[in-house]
Amino acid sequence: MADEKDYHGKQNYIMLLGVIAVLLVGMVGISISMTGSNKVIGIVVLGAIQFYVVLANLMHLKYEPAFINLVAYLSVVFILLFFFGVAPDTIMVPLAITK
Amino acid sequence: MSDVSIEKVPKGRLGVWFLIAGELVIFGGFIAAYALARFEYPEFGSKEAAGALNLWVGVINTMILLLSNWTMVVAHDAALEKNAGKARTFMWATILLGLIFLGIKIGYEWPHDFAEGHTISSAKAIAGAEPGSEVMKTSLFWNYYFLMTGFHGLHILVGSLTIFGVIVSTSKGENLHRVELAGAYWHLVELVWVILFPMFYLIK
Repeated sequence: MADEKDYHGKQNYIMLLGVIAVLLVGMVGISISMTGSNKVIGIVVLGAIQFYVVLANLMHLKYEPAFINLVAYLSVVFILLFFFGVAPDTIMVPLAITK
Repeated sequence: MSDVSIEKVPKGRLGVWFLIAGELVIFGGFIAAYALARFEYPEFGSKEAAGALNLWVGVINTMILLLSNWTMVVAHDAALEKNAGKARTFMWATILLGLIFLGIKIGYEWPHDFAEGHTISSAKAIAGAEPGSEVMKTSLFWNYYFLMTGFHGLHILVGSLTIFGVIVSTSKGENLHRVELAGAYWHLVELVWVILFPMFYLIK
């Protein structure tokens, strides 16, 4: 078994958490100051960056072997597959019950 | 990505990553279902739904969770330095912050929502309401909100118990590798919250 010191570098966690906090402030700022689709797009983009920073850096995924990266990112792919697979039936075709 | 071969990865860490991937799919299913409903029903952003949530309480809770992630990585660093005492101290701090998060959620936010008539079923509110009416749609928002924040809260509780277990198992300075495994699970809780927080509190 490999010691994690073998491949985990020493990270600057204060900086990482600072980045996450700045992204959080950015999202709250967008939520307060913007409206409509620009607001949603801005929040989703910053949220996606925050998600990546936590997953890759805080959870050390970027230091893990390719197989573990595949397992983790494949779960995200499954979620997107579910979303875009179902979206045409719910968003584009109004359900009778909502009428 | 590391070029370390998969055979050299400790089995415990491999198991935790499979658990995390499974949890991501479960939470992802909820999140995708909510996003689909959100597109369908703009009423989710009304004052009777997401608009009724207190943004600043959500921000405070997010900062508390972020702080708990910092205490957990400090515990992890201490474990790497074989400093079991420091690791345990910061794991206790992580548990405390997790319980504060839960306390605010269950002790302040939820009772406030209940007092306004919002529950997971909102049976009273929807009694006699027409299918497809606004009250039905805002009620659906509260279904999602309580289900997902409740499920997330359950994970905080399980994470806290897991960290407590690691504190006990490292009391003799052994099993310090478990700190990282508990930490990975704890960061999953943060990972899910960075999606739930904007979804419920910011996109109104």
